[in-house]
Amino acid sequence: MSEGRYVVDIGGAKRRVAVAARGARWELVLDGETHLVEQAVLERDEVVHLLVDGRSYLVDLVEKDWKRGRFVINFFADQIEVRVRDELEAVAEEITGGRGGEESFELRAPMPGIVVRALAAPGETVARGQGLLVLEAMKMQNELASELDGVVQEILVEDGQMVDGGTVLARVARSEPPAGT
Amino acid sequence: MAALKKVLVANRGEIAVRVMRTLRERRIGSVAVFSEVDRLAAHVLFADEALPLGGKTSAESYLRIDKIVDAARRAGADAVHPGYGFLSENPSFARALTAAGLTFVGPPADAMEIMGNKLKARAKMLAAGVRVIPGTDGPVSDPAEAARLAEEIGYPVIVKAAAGGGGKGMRIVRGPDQLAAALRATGEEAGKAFADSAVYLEKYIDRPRHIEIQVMADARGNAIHLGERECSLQRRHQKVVEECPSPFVDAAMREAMGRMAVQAAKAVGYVGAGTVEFIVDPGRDFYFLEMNTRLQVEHPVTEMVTYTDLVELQLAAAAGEPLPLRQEDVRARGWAMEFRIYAEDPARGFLPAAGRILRLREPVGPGIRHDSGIYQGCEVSVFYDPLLSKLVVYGAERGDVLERARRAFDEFVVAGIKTNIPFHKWLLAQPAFAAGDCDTHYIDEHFRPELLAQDPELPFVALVAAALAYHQHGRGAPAARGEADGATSRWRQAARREAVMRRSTHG
Repeated sequence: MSEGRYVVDIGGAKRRVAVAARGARWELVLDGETHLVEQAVLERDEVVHLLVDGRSYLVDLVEKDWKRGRFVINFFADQIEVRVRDELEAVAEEITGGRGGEESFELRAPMPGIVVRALAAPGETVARGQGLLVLEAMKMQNELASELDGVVQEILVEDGQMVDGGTVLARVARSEPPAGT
Repeated sequence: MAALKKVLVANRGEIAVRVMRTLRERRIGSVAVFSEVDRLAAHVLFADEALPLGGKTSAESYLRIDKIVDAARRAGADAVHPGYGFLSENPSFARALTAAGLTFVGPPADAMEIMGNKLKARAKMLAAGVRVIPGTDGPVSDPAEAARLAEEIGYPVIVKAAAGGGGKGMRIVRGPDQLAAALRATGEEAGKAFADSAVYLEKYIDRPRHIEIQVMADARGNAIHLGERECSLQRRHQKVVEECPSPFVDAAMREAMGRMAVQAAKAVGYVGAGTVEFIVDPGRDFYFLEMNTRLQVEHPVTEMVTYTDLVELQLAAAAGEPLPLRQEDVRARGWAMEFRIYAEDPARGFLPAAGRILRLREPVGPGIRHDSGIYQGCEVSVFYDPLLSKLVVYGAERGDVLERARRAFDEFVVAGIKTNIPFHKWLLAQPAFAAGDCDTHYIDEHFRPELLAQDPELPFVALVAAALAYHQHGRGAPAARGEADGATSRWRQAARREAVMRRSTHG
């Protein structure tokens, strides 16, 4: 139960890492190199302090999407996006070329802004990467795209509406939506 | 005038908090005003009392003279401090307050009016013997006349549209052969852009420095200066870093600039804190540029070096008290630098950033002052200026301040929104900055986003943290992994519930 193998996408690179519990500490094998990590949780799933081979790091988990294994990690002035996948999942994804197993996609506003217009209507078939709607934030128009090949289930906002960051804007289902919804 | 008992601060953000800090030290009541968006802004949380203005944009709230006068009356305030920006340099605001029987913490409206108008200010300064940039005091159209005037002023000169502004409608002329063409082109351009083809000439200052003098005057005709601030580090005419003293100014120059600044203030019957801006050429000749009739954003560097509280001095002047110090009492010790922290992304053309500040760890320790208008969890709105705070670093020598600033930025954590902290780290690594050799063009000429350096350990640290978090999150509680799916706040609630439950089970 306390061992896992992962593929980590970070800064355009793919790294393989194995995690195993060693008493109160963790052993991380990263590209064949072993590191001993002691982890103290200052705020659960928010702030951790790591002693990696005795070096001290205070880290903030700014954004977390546990289902997709996506994180934005903050280390002092710098931030970086990280994606962690189970090794088996990653292999499966590489074979299918898509997001293995995901049945639906929720488009969320990445930042507060104003909805300019929807680019797709409910019932419309969309491809992965196709724009679903345009969000204006800080005087810039951003096209937000579907991450899934599928059918638009609903557009939950109206043109001109102000939305907070994280608001669900639209839903896309991999298959046809069930009748009656 | 009686001592002030309660002051309304007609501003928001870091400056409102900074003014209220002095009010609190002086045991004067503080009243905040706030727009709809700012209900939970730092200045509202800090104040003794707070009144809503309604409205979201500045025009609907902090710029509404009627609403602010009304709020001051309702709160029973006896004075209003305008901070900087917003209504701080608006003579009508000062007059409206006076008419309502309230004290304006600032100069007389007439002084603001003169200094707020370039031509009026220039004429007044010329008459008072203050050195202004040599130029024609009116429009020129005849090429022969222009050639004679340009010769008198000395090349290079700049041809400017009388109706222009913000860098539009101007041409630099380096020799007589280019003058006629520049006159024609600028005139035509101005005619199209501003429907007024009048142009005038001014001396062009190559590689200029921007150095300003802090002045302080009371209502009894006394005025002093508190030395200079070096403000040459600008990005597109916006100041980024300021310091006191200037590495470029020696005692004799300071004395001369200071005297001229006091002369400028006295010429308009100034009262309170003001700043006389000078443009300085590489040969150390300096010329009056304009006077800012308010407290400056960068006032803390003067405070650190002269051991004064400029807000306190402002309040005293507004209450009609005499200046508590004479020119010979002003002593400067050490060095101070201010770094403006903006909500903007230096990697993407300094695009303004908005959102929630999810994590904030402010630098502390020796020689650090952080004048801030933010807190962890607060929302940075798209409606107002992106200035979040000012990191002020001070020490005995300039070199100490630079090392201390580097250390401070290494401690600084702001997560959730982008800030220009990585830009400041870049700047601190530049030899020209370390040597104090930057003119006003330095940043625009030298900074490129590719030069921003990330901590070399970042990818490794982030990988370890993310892999461990993911690993632990998934094990033993498979249901938790799908929960809330990226929605931080909902997820956070779930985590808290879980934590509470754990505590109750395990003791």
